[in-house]
Amino acid sequence: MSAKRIVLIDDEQYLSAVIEMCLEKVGGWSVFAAYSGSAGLLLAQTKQPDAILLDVMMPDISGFEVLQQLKSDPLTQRIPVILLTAKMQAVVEADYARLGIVSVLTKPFDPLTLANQVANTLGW
Amino acid sequence: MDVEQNTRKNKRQLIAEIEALHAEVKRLKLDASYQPQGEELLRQQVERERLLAIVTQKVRQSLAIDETLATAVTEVRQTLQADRALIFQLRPDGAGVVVKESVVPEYPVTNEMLFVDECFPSECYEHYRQGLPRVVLDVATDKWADCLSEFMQSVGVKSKIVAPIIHRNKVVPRVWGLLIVHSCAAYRHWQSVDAEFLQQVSNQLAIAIHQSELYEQLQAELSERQRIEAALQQSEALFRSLSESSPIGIFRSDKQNQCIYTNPCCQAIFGFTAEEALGKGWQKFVHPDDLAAYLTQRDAAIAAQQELVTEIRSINPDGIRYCKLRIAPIFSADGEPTGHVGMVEDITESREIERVKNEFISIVSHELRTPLASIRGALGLLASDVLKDDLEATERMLKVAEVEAERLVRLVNDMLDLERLTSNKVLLDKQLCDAGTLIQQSVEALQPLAEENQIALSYTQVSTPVWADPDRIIQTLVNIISNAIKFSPPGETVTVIVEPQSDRVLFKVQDRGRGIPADKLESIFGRFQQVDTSDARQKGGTGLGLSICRNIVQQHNGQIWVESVLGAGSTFCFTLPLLQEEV
Repeated sequence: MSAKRIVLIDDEQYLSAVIEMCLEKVGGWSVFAAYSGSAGLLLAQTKQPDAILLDVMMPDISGFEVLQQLKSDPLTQRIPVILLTAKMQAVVEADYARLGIVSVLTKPFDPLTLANQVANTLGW
Repeated sequence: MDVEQNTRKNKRQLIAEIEALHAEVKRLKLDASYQPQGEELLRQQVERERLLAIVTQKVRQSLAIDETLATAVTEVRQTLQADRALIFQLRPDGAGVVVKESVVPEYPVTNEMLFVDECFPSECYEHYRQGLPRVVLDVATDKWADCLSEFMQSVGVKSKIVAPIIHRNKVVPRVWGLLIVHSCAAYRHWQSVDAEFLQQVSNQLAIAIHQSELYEQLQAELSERQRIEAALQQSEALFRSLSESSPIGIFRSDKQNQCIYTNPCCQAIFGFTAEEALGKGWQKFVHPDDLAAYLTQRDAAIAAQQELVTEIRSINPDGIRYCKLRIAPIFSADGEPTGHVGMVEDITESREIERVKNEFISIVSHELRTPLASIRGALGLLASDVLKDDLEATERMLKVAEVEAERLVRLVNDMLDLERLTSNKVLLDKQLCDAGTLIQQSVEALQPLAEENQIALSYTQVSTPVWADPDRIIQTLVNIISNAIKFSPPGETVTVIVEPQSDRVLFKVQDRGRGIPADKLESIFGRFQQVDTSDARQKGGTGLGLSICRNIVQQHNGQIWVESVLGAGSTFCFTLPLLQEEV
């Protein structure tokens, strides 16, 4: 696994810190964290990451709105997106393609295998 | 002397002559050829005409057969100067019974006598059936009444006339009974004219009996019809009330799917009148996006003779209603489809409750899982050797676990507290307290937080009695004041005011924060309804604080609300009763 660049968009700062740690320490990747949807959009445009981990439930712009904007922006539409959710049955697999996402990871997660899950999902 | 002798002789002669006359009369009476002559005949004729007129009139005027028969036997006996007149009814079972009698006191009563096995010779019955009367001058020698001779003797009959009463309402005439006249004192030389007269009376009686039977039959039919009508009305009223008062909407359509009935509940759900719904009128009240699909489903279900359960929206003038619809085809007794019946249930409220419940569960799930995910992640990393030798990362993860565990504890505590409050499991320890003291204690508890946020706390030191649970009111005040501190920019002042009013005490907490949008003024007192959901994380709240405050205030029979100007600040207000409420 080469060093990947990940943009993490999640308003939960403590959880973000944990995810960052997991991906950096276990996966050996670079993580750029944004704590709001709007900051995340900007970060995705500027950092051009290999993948985006996107929280669904955020206060300013919801995860789905962020996703829509990522997919409609030529600068970001090709970047694979994985949704992070703590809600039950937020998205069913049949809707992945329609939404333009690769997968959905449910919180809580195993910190030691998170990077592997992401990598497997993206075929890295 | 001569005169005396003459007188005696005359007396004897007179007696002899009278005896001779008596003997002649007796002879004449016994003589079958004796016939009343002249004046007497005329008198008899008048009497008989009079009786016939009476009986005929009775028959025409009265349907009370009992009375007519009673009149007939009395009048007949008197007119014919007989000792007994009776009506003997032949029953279909072969028995016979005396149903009416008029008898002179000297002779036995036969009324209601029953003859179990009436033994008419068939030729006798046939004679009667032809409507022919019979005169029997000496009953002892009656060839058709051997079996009766003993009875005749016992009731002292010498001569009789029998006139049959013929029932003609059947194809074959039937002998209903007999009108009989008895002579007991003497043998009577009744003539055929007497028999004819009696037969005329019998014929009138037959008419009376026939009329009476018809009348009874009509009466029976009428009362049966009235009974059926009443039962129908009762049944109609029952089913109408079932439908009209039903809390479920009901409708009925005919074979062509034209609506022919809607009950009041159905009309209320769709917002149409009974008339507007008729035919295809109801379709205008179904949401246009749902109508075509419903009609397709309905036609398919009816064609397959199956029930259909579906949901449609009605465009009620009061707003769109969600309806659960259940229809079933109806068949006639011979299996022919005759339309369908439907039930409509307004599920708008239950759908909304379901939606709110799902959203709540979703939020709870998110609120619980997020700190859990942090804790699980942090501890997982700490337990592995990933963070080995990286002291800073180790400390950061420990801090994450600690902070998020505290958040989880607060959340669980608040949820349990709210659950106990809403399910009335919390018994408030209400007592007379001083509102000023409650405020002072709350403010003192929050002083460190205020200093941390560089907020000044100001409060009025007024002593006012209030009937409340002090711990719960301090909890409420701390919650509202801490919100005010957290949402005010540094350097501002949060003011707490207490105002005694006529029947209550008003508490006010004023801040100079960012304010609350008008559409959130009400909803922020709901669960997880912060103006900004990130507030809970950033300000250390759980999203349940104001909901808990509202429950506490409501359990004190008080009110809670907020007044706010966006960008200028908010004032949270609540009231508490001044005095102990009446128990």
